[in-house]
Amino acid sequence: MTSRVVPRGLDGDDLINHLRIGLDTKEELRNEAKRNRSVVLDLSNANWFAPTFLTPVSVVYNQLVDEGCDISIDYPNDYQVKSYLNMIDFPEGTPDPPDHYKNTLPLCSMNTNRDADAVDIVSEKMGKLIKNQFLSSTDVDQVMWLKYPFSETIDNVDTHSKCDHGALLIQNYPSKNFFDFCIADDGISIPGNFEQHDIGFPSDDEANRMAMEDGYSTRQTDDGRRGFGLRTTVEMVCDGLKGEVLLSSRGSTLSRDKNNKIKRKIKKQSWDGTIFAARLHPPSDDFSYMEYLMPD
Amino acid sequence: MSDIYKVEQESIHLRRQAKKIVEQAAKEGCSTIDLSAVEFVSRSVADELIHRSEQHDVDLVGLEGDVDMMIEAVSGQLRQTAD
Repeated sequence: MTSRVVPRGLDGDDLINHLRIGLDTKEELRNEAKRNRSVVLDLSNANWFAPTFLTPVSVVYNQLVDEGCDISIDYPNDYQVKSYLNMIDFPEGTPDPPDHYKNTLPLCSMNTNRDADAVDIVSEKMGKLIKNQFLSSTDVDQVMWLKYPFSETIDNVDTHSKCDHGALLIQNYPSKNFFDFCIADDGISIPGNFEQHDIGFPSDDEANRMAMEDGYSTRQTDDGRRGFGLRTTVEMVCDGLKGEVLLSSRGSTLSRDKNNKIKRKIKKQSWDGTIFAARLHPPSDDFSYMEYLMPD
Repeated sequence: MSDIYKVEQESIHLRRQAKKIVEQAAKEGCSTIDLSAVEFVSRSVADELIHRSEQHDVDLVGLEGDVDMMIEAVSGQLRQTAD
């Protein structure tokens, strides 16, 4: 018997809304896969996809495939939306992005259980694609604003997550003047990583806040140095680029925008691993990435 | 054996890659790592290169453009932090 999972409300470009639907879809896919080994993810009525839906769902899709589940997709009725999903290689994602890509960047899979070099390949290929596709300027500040968040967050997945599956997607919306970026993994999570390194925290919310705001990192206990990658990325995106970030790890999803307040955005759903998403606006002429390299 | 370990990668995004480069250079008995072919290193990679090269007493040379700026910026801030 085959069961169907039908996500509702896939419209508009709100990152949090799409993440909430993505987390619900993850839960439903897992539950249905337990009951029936055959599941259809029905996206026929979807009108819009943000990376905060596509990226975690891609991770769950690859998990279920590896667990032997028969999972298939009903693609959107809307031709353009369907074409977009095909173009970016949803749901599997590509483990080896080609050197040239038409119009948009692919959904990348980083399934380290299948290939130990998965993150290396994606980081190298995507680094080149980002530069060739979006960043023609020779001005370093006009290049670093996008490469910095990409390189710091993919390094966090590689260094800390111990994941089996990961996915990454960058979408450019020229008419809206922003980029959306999302990276998801099924690793040990930020709270889980803190627990393994005896870093105390009262709640998952607080653990994620400590990573986002205080620059807490397990590298402190590994070799006495602090890891500033997440904190500096959050500050660069929110303060320097007037954007917003979302961080979902285990039982907590937090957001921060240019108004400088970290808020708890999603209360019921959880993610076994870490999802980091950002909406970035191309920088103004006076933007300097140097200001964000290391916090005060 | 050459005393210089030449890095051929165009960009380095991961700490693990930086650690591997320095350890490989040290293993091959090189006292200098030439980064002239590298166009981009992330902040984390710069931090790792500085830390590991000090550990293994290896010099970083061929620093140009963005790579030079990143290494300079991170090492300057590390010095400030140490002070």
